[in-house]
Amino acid sequence: MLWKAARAQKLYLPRISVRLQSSSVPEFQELHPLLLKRAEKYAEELKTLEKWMAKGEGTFDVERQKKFSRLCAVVDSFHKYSREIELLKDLKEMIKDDPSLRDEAQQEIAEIRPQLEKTSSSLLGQLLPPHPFADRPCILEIRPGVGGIEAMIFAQDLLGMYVNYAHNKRWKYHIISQSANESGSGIVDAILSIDEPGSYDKLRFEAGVHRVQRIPATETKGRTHTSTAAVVVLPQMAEDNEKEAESYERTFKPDEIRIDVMRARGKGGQHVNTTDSAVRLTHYPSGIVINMQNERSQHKNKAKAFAILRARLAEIEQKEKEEKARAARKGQVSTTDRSDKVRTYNFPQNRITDHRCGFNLHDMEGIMAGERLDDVIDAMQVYDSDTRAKELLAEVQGTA
Amino acid sequence: MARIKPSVLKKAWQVNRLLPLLLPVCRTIEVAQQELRWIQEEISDKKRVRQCCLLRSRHYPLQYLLGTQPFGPLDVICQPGVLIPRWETEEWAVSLAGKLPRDRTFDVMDLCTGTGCIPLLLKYMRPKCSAFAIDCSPLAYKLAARNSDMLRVPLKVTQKDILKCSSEVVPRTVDLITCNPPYIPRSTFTRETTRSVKLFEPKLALLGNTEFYANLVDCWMSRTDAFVYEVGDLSQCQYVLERVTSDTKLSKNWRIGFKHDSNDQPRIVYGFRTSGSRLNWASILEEFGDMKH
Repeated sequence: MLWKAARAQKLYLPRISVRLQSSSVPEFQELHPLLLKRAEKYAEELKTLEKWMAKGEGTFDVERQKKFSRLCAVVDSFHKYSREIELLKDLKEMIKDDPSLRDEAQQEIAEIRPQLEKTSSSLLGQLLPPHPFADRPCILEIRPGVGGIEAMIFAQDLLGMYVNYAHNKRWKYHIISQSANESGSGIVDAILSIDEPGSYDKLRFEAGVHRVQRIPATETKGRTHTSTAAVVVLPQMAEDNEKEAESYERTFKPDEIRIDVMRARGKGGQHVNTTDSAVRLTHYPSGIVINMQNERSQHKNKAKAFAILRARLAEIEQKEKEEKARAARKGQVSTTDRSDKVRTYNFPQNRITDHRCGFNLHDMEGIMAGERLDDVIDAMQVYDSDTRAKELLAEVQGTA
Repeated sequence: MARIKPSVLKKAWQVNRLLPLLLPVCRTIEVAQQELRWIQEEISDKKRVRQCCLLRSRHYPLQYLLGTQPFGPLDVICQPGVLIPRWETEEWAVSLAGKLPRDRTFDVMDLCTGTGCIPLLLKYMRPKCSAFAIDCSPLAYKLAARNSDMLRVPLKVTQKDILKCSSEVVPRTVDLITCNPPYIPRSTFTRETTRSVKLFEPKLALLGNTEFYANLVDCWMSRTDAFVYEVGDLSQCQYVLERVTSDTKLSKNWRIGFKHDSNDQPRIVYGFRTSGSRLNWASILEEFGDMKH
């Protein structure tokens, strides 16, 4: 709850901290007037849309219905918010005008405050546009970075963490591919698919370089090492079954993709009965190369490779869109998704630090067991909506 | 083939005692680890896993040990005495099945069917067609019938030697004939096949040269609208092409094409009637391979 309050402080501009005389709780700060203006605009839009629909003109349109229901939700919480803020103002008036009612009024203010905070944060959330892939399942790719075998071990630990996380949430997951290093102590790469719709929205902040500081199992002199592992989070655009892959394959021109099977020289066919089923998929326009070899079936390997290609292309497209939008705003906003070192796992200090939002957690065991990962993710989500609210404000101010 | 260095064997031994057994067939530690994982996934008993690895070290095929081989979306049962489905066959069969019409009924006949993998896949992916299969080996006949039962894909299997009595086979005419005949000439058998194939797979399904392609031109082309035959060598493609072009009647009515696999080896010779067929084979097989005639 501590950071929630901190978030409230950040968001509710202007930053004048007026204190109630008898209470140490900081004054509730209203949403920025420009944000409210935007909400009012939505209300107007809803009215015109309602009128238009009441006339019964035009045919049923799914997109319009969706827009209508979204607007309804926004305007509903906007009305709720204005009602509650009105009530708060009245109560404050009362305190000023009639000192005899002061205690009662203050008690009532204390009662409605949590509700008001909830309403205002949900209104803020609704005013911010959702991530386009927020409702998707996701694919996590984990690879060791610098640090040799220790990095491979850490990559495996990370994989375990995400598996545990999915397990705790009772989300369906499966490992698409995993290759162990030669000694079998860590992984060279792993791809984990989390099949829960909406898991992308939660886990997309995991993308980036994760740094570990600890005394590795391979260390003989007891020195602390720093190693890294990289995590890539992709939205899952379709299931990795054969049918999907087939229809997806047909969307490419023949000269855009190339499917290689890794075969030895020789005549092939009946001459050899190899079990090698590795597939390499190359997508020329983007330069993406995907190797897949875990399944005995070449067919399944191909389907998986296509599912990953699809996810990667979708992500690239989304990044480009975001970049364009940013360039249009000309804002030098620090991005949350491209920055390199995103998190440090310091084992000797039992500490996890997220470098983007500056969040600290002292429970290594809980994190690695996936139980407290949500704390970090929630902090990141708050940080993300913060920055996005700021961007939105800047945008609204620019147009106003 | 380069020998495996003792240092690699030692390294493999350090990772897992069973890995050195798999190295002669797998050549590298990564591939061996992968194969060991597949064995361990299928077989839980440790003693049995060891036995499998021992057999594997003598080049016994993994597909016979595990009992199945993935073939497109199907898992086909494999047994000693019947040829293991190859990935090349899987590749063209999946591509062919994808081109066949979904909403039409037609008859497919597979000759030298072995495990029955080709007609089973075609029937599985295009349920409206009727699939027939023929093999002369009693083992293959039984296995194809068993596969059809296990996969719940209806397939009519007959045991006949097509080289001797192809005229007795029913139905009299079909729309498509597929075949993966034995195509390794005896002269190149020892030189070009791998040890595992030489030692453990049935010669009946491997040794042959042009006899099945001659049989195709002589007996089957009059009874079908299209055919797809797997080949091991370009000379076998050319044999069919020459036989068709030299016959004035056939050369007028038939078009012939070759297809390469993704390892760039000639793999398929196929052909179809230009007129008088029930399905429009020219459009179905339009991008299947390269037309030669």
